[in-house]
Amino acid sequence: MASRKFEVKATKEGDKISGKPKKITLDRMRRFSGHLDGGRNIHTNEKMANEAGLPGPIAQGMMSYGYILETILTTFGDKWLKGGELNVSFLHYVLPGDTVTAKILVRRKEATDSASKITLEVWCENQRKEKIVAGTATGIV
Amino acid sequence: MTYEEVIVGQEIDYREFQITPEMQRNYLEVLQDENSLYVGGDSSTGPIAHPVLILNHAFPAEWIGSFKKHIHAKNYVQFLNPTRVGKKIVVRSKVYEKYIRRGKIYVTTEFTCVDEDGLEVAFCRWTETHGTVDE
Repeated sequence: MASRKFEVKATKEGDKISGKPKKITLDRMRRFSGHLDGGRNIHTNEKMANEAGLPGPIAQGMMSYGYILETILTTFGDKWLKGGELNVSFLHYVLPGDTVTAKILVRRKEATDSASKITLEVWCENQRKEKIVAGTATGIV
Repeated sequence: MTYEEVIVGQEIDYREFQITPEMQRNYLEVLQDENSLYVGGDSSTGPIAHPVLILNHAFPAEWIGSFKKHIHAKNYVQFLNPTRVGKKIVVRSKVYEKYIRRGKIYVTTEFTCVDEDGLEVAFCRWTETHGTVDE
């Protein structure tokens, strides 16, 4: 897969940044969650999902978590990985065929000695604009 | 496992795993993450390991799976230091808290990921809901 070098972006309070829309497929769900429970779980297997009362396999929440983290790191750079925090609640199921887009909103930007402390509101939306994940993030960059 | 059997503070899991280039490649493709952080690095250090890969292999999946029902409800992570592909990760997990809210059962486990050089990589609190009290 091709890789891209992202430049750290200049941001200010109130800026809203959108990640790339991600198409959810059963194949991607199986490759993400296939190491769990011998490969048979609610994220990979129709029968297991139905037995758990689900309409079918649901994407693991950590996939959406990854989309938010990607958007943070492509915006603020890898300094976020030294002390940054990301705290979310998973609100709705994500199913194969859904498209998930991460969003971040710069709530606060405070100058420290040689850096900025950033506070973000973060969430993911599906193709119906429903919030499926929501929370906050903070980091020094 | 039932709600009554959960003991707050109990150590529940210890695991070690190595971050291989194949695992990294799989996560980058699945997440469609093109950030060059994960493929760059110089020849002596290698690329940064994808943090979600680490977290997703670190959480105490078998222990959580011992409940009849389990759905990931909340996740808190403090990223402490990036580590590299090829490193071994050591993880210790324990029960942080359990509670019932609006009739639903919640259990939070917490774990710290440390690499083979002793570098703390991430601290995570992972909350699952395990159905309702009357199920």
